[in-house]
Amino acid sequence: MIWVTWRQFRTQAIAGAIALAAAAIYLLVLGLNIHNDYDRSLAGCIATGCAPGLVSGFADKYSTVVMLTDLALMTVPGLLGAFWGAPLISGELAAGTHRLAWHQSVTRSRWLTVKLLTIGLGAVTLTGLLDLPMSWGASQYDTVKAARFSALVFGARGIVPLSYAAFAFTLGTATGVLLRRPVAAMGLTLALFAAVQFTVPTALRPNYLPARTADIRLDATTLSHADGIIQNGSSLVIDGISLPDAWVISAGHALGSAGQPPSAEKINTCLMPGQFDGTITCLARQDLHVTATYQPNTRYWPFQLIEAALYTAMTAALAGFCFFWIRRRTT
Amino acid sequence: MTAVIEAHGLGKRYRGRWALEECTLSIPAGRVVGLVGPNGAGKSTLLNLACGQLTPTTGSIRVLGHQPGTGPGQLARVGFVAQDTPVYAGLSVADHLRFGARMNPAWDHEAAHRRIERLGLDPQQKAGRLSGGQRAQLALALAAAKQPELLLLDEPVAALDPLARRSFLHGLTEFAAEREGRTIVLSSHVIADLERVCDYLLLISGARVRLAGPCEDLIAEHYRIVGPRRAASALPPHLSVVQEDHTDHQSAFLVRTTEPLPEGNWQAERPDLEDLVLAYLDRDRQTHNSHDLEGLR
Repeated sequence: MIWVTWRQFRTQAIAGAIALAAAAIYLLVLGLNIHNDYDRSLAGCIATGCAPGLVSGFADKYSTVVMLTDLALMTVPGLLGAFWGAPLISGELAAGTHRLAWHQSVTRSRWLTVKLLTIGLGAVTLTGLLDLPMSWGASQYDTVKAARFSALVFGARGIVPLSYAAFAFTLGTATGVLLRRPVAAMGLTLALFAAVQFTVPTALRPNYLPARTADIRLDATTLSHADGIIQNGSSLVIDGISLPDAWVISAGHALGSAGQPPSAEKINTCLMPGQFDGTITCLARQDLHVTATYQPNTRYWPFQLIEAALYTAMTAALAGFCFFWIRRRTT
Repeated sequence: MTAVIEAHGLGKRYRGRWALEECTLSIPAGRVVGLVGPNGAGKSTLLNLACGQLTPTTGSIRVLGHQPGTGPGQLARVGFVAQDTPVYAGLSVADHLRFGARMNPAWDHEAAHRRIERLGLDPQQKAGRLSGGQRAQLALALAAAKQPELLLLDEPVAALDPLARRSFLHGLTEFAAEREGRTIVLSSHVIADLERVCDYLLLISGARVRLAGPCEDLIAEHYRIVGPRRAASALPPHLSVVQEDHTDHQSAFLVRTTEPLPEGNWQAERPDLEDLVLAYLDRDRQTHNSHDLEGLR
């Protein structure tokens, strides 16, 4: 049965292996570049404190390429689901060859088990083989950037990509079993996977564990890291506020030391369009703070485990659906 | 004699329509069964129920003493060649034989290769490039080398030209003769396809079994009688009339009786299998039509 699975899957497996080899070479080259650059510029000073421009220069230099690579890596499970999972059973159902395969001396359940396990493990392995060189290559960049919780980085490092691969592959198989047409199943797989990959980081991930709350003082350092300052009367909102070693999920309006909104007048005198540094210095003197909810960075691995468990559970449910449908509903 | 296929009140409903209804039958072992009926009569449904591809809506079916399609043991004992003889277009003939060998513990390597060789099939050829006849032969070779006790074939010769048809049926009789007690059920909507090979007839029409039995018994029980015009009621009571046909002066009947045919002012002859099948199908159509007419009134 394993030989049969391999023989039917050979072309896709070879295509996958070639793509993997090309991508792995690219990731290794990228990783070597980042490592060499780091060793030359930051390795000597990072412990004692480098010149500010040096660190941000290093981060800026690689931010685009790492972001695009992470984005590409995030699509790998979806592609595996569409090209390996979706045609797996629907190809047989569309060609009618399931009527040949199911009348050998192998039950439908065993037939499906072997297919799901061998090719599913292949999909997880392939994703892992891309995940590893990326995690190694970008490790120093990740440390400098300290944004392991950002949506792209979180989904392209650690163990979650493996669970995405298992989920996407099984999702593809299940839609194929249901629709019985490979092309339609491929399209639906991509759409559903994209929807899940959008929903989980935005709606579920912030709530895996109860978020903590902290008052963040709006001093010069905090303000200078912010993305923007938005004022509307006495309401002052700091966009993109960050907390060291934490993933800030939401932040409220700026408040004075006694918890009262700052006076619109005082803020107005501080806001100097075009003079960001002046604005920051002035606002920092106002002794303002915001109340923010956040997830501490120590929760990174628990979050990875929780998300991997979530996707594994969805994988198991989809596989169960495949078995039920193949045994009971498919003719 | 032990029954290979035994069904009681078997029925299958598809999208609100009964594809097979109230089917009760018992097919003995060692026969080559011709499953005959018009298109859409329920032949495929019966075969798919027997191999476990479908599950019944009502009633029960047991094949070789077990529920069909349950477990590898049962699957190994029943061979199935589905309609249009599906094969993997992208795999070669040799790959199909390897496929069969890996999927079936009782695989007869020798027989499979002998069969392919004799057919003159190139082992390296992709199955997608085979002709309809060659593809059917490949499907038969796969199903036969599995060495099933019961081989089910759904319209295997429908798409074949006469030469390929003959060669295919020859291959089938060879399989039956290789070992004692093997049973074959093959369906067709053309009785002439089956007349040469089958020794047991199963006639299905309008989702119901109309006639079942060994061919020689069926022929022995039926007579075609032609004589002066008369009503069916004027015939001796133990003759049950299957079909009647009247002209101004003459009446022709196809009758069934288990007793010897009494003497009468008629000429009697044995019908052949095709006559029988056509007569039963004709009767079926007429009763359907009269039902329709009653519905209109």
